[in-house]
Amino acid sequence: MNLFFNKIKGIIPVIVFILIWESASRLQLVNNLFIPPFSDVLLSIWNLALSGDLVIHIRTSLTRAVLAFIIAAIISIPLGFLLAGLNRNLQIAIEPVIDVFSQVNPFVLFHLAILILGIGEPTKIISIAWMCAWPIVFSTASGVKNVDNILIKSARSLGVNDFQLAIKVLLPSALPSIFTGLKLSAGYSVFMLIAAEMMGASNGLGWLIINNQENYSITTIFAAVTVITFLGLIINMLMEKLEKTLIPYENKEDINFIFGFFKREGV
Amino acid sequence: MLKFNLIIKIAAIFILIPLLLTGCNNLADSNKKQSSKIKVAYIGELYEAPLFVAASKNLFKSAGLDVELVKVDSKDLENQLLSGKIDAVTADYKFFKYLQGGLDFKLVARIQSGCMEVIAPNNSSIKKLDDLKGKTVAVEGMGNGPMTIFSSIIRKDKIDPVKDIKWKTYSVEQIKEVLSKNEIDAAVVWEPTNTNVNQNLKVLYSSSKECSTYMHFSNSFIALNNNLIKNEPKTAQSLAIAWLKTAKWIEKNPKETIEIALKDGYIKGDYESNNYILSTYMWMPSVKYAKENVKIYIEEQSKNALISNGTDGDEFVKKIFSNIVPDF
Repeated sequence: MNLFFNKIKGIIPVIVFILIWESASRLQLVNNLFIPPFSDVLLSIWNLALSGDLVIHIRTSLTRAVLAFIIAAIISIPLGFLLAGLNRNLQIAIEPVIDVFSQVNPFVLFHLAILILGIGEPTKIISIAWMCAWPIVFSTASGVKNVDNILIKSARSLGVNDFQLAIKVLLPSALPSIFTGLKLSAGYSVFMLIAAEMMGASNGLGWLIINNQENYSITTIFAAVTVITFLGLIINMLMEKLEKTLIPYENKEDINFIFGFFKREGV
Repeated sequence: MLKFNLIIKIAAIFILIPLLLTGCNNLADSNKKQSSKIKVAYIGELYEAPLFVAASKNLFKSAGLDVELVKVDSKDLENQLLSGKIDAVTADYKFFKYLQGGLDFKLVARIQSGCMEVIAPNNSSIKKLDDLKGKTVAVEGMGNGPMTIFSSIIRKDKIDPVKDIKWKTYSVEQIKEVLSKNEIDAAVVWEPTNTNVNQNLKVLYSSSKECSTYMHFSNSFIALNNNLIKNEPKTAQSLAIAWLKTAKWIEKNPKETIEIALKDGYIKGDYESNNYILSTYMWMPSVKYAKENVKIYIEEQSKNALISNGTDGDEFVKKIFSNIVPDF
């Protein structure tokens, strides 16, 4: 019994939430014209799925979010290394620029990007990537700055150059911190994606909400919101799985692991 | 792995709980229930166009509604509504008096709005609104949108619309005529999209040029019988939403709207005259602005003694609106 309870205790709040939602709407404790029962929302998701629209919108949205996230990661991780002082001159040069740029609101940027790139895919992807970039930049910089000096000195004494130091010492050591940024950005990518699709798109989950808002289809709005929530949950889960796969040493003795890494790599 | 299992469990719960609560049959046809016939009254004016278009294009039917349009004489409208046989109607500025008289209808949203302009003969010495003190001003109807906006504006300039203005009512066509003959000093009308100002007229004020409460002022509203709202709220909501969606369609298809209304005999006149009237309409559904504008209507109509003197705008709005349409 105890084992069973331990297994299900994580989902009890979800069950309670759905029961409250369904009951409150059915019993008209809330205005069910504006808050439809959860079963109606589910039916709406089912109908969207049957029509094939849901798959199209999810695919479109995911493509945008993933592409933007990858672009952000490719640019931001090296930028984080530079910001952490891997190259002192470059750090001095880019730090003020990054400080200023990180304050530029992605929603404002979206409208500026429209002026230059029009209202197509690049505008949306750039805006999402912009939002995703900063947590990765700063968590990478923080991770690199906090790498144990003993590790760096040991590596230097073994004769590594800057590039080798970055790839073989700093990156593995800073990876847990980088992943914190990556996980944050993955969430932000969905957040900004929906906003960008609401502001200017003709498909995607954000558009689905706006379009149904214009058509007063309240249940479909709830359906889209539920799908987006699930999507966020799945993305978070995938990121955690990826983190556990890539950083198995996170909770182990870091130094021993990394020295083992040096030995394997022959540094 | 634990997280993955958790998500699978949550997904299963999301599917199973509603099924248990509602039953599969209920899930399958919960939105398809056909309600009884809904009678919607119309008098044959162009501002009722969403009804004509929705009926002609079967848009009510698509929303699962069985709607019958009932032609009513404008003079007999209040009695017809009081009889309880009518479920819905397009309300305008005259409706507030009916509601104050005890008509059990509720406003749901505005469907159409417009901007007001004050026009005067080109050769007139009147140059601004202040100059209209003690003058004769024409309107299409006492207490209508343009008159309400105008009264509210001049009141701020210390001109009393009741004592300082001599009001006369004419149709749009008559207004142009009496203005050209200088029989009136100015007229307060809905502004057409393509301005109607010809060489003989000048615009003293246009609400479209100012970003204020008076811009896009509500002109007509969806009014539903309170019994329909209380007994069949889902049907009432579906009706209002189908109505509003049709209004949005009209905004994009004005030509087809007039053609439908004329072809099916809902309105009188020729294409040109109706096209002019339609050009003064902006189909901008809203709940929030409907409430704000109705408050101004009430306050001005009350001050102009068109409804009971001293009627509280806020209280009246609370009483006559029903929240069945979200204010997106």
